[in-house]
Amino acid sequence: MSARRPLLAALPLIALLLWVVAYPNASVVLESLAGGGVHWREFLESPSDREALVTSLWISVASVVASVAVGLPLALLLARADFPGRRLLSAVATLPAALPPLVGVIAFSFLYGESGVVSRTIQQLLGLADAPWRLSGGWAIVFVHAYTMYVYVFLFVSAALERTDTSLEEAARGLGHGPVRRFVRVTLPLLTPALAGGMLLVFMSSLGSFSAPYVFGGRLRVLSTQILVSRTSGAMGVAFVETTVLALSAVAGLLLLRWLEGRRRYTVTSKGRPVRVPIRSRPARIAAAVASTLLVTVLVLPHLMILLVAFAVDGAWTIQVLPPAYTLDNFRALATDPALWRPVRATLLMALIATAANVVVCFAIAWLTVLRRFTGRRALDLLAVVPWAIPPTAIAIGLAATFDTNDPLRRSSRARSRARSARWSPGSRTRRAAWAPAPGRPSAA
Amino acid sequence: MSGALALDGVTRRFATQVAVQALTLDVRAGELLALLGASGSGKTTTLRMVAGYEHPDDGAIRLDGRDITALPPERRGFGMVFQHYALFPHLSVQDNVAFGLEARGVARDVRRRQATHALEQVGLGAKVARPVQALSGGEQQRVALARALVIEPRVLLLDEPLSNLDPLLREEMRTELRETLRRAQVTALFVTHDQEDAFAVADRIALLADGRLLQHGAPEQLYDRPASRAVAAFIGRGTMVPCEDRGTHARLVLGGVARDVAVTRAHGDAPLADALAVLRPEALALAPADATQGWPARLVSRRFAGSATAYVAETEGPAGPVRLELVTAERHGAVGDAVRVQLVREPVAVVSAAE
Repeated sequence: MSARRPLLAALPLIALLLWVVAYPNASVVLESLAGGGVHWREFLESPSDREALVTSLWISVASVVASVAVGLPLALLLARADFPGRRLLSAVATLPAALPPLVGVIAFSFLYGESGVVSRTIQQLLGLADAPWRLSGGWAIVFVHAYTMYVYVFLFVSAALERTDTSLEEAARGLGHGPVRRFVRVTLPLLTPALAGGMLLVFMSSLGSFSAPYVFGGRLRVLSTQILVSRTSGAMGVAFVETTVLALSAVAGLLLLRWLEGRRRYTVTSKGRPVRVPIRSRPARIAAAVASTLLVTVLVLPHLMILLVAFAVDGAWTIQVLPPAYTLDNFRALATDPALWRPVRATLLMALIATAANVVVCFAIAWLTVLRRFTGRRALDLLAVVPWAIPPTAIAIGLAATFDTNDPLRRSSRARSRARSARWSPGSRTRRAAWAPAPGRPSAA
Repeated sequence: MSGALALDGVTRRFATQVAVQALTLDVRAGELLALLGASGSGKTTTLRMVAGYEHPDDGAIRLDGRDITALPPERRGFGMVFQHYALFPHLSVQDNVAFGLEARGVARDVRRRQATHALEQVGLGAKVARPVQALSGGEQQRVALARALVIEPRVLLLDEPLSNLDPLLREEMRTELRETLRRAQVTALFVTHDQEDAFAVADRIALLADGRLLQHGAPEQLYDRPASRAVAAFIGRGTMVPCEDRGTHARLVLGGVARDVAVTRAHGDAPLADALAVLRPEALALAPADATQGWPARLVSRRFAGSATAYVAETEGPAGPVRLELVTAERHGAVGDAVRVQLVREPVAVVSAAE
């Protein structure tokens, strides 16, 4: 194939990405600079905006730490140890990722909110006057994030452990190193690229997370919700600054973790089959069984909760621990009331369109950038990764501001579908995912 | 100081099979012992039990008389060279070699110096700062060896150390490996499926099949005096011919010609009822058909191999046709020629036909 033909095929794709990726995002930045930087000054001088930025960053960092604290040990345990309940635990370990962010947040408030099932159960068991906790504020957000996002770390690390050569750990052992040093000096460095990948996903997802701060934030301000506040109050210029800052924070995180990931990249040539060591001692086996049962319960509860409330009689559930009455009426209503069915249909339709568009566009881009050589290949590659690096809220703002002629807050479903499609562009990570099982990233908008 | 290793009735069972069956074996201090066997013979499992990565279900492993069966690998003080070397990809060549010294509390600059010295010993003094992935297969093997030797192990364990090298390099590394191990005066146990590797490197060989020890001895001993038909079949090439065992000698009747040949036999062993004589290819020679001595035969194949020529000669044995393999400097035989096959090296080994 001559060098010209792939370029001809790439031109329409480059044009498309310039139109839906570069143009809206660039215009957000340009709009933020309008008026000679007056909006930036406004942003920098506003205490609530500074609070939002700081809160967004610390919540994201804390979410990363919490996700690693859960995902890394869980992956190590499931890959390297055998204990009663291992199979069940490993089957449900990725379940939280199957919960759309908003649905997860709703399930969490039903479970752990002030009048949630778990909160009330504990309150009654201990005979407390009030709920044992309030699911509100920054730590509540981190808790919800950790639950839904540890899966990224877990999946990346599990995949890496699957490929790891266990004879490296054996070699370290034979050379006289105990378990802690082996982990710190051998296992962890080898897992660094995978860990960085998982951490990156958590950081970006939690930076762009909207539902959790919106529902559990209380009066806490984060960037993603602050953008909405600014727009509602008509401060469009500041909203553009906030959007730009959100996008820049995400890109900074991306670059930082990419650098960490790139510093340690090895091809492991040797082989040693990963072996699961059975936990032998009786107390340890019982502890493992109890712990994994608990963990499985916690992981499955939100799903069960959603299922349960779907059958609850509307309005009947007040002070009881569990909904007192059940019915099929909710489903009947969904099937008979067109007003209820319309959003469901719209969601399915958008998902379908976004998926189809992604398959076509991403396949073409991946095919061209990976298998062909032509001038402009790098530009195409770069344009394709940009939506991945920018939080969905920022993308949506850009698209709405650029393409929607109506009030940007009542964005048409077309623009939202496009936002979703743009987010799913094939970054190098999604292409890498074709080689190693790595999770994609659900839009958290 | 290198130690004497003893395996005493060591058994390892996996879910469906017995990998190692009541293995008893001695490795003297400073000895190079090869564990030789086909894949699935239990040799790697044995090595991993000695290293401490596998636990015997039965039996004991002793070092200088001390039971170390329950001792974890990190406390055995053994060195190990893994089949694929298992070098740490995130560390430099030097840091790989220094890694074991780190666990022994050696100061940073001292271990660097020792590592560099160990690398110089294996001819890699110029590559201490390289990442290990920049090295060739042979160089990686030497780094793995230096890493295992620098901790002055009581016992050195090597898992198929030569199997990943191409044939030319492999030949060279055999000699080099033996010299390095000799110089280190270390007790070494090495696993191989290749008898030439075992012959070239080891002082003694333990031949394993199906988790059992078939024979244990010097390479020449296994070759010249195989203890069983299985050993004779595994070690070296040759033909096993039914014969009449008469104690000090055996009578072979081939092509209608009987000949008494001297037999290698431990003093006092009773003659075998169902004896097979082991005729090694280089113990046989070709003679013209009209020679007065030798068994009449017909050449059925010829393969020129440079320094020697390999033939297969077919003759009639006591229980049907027999194909004799022979390797000789004589290169003028042609397929179809009537010849006589002479035995030029005695005594020969006899083994029982029963497995």
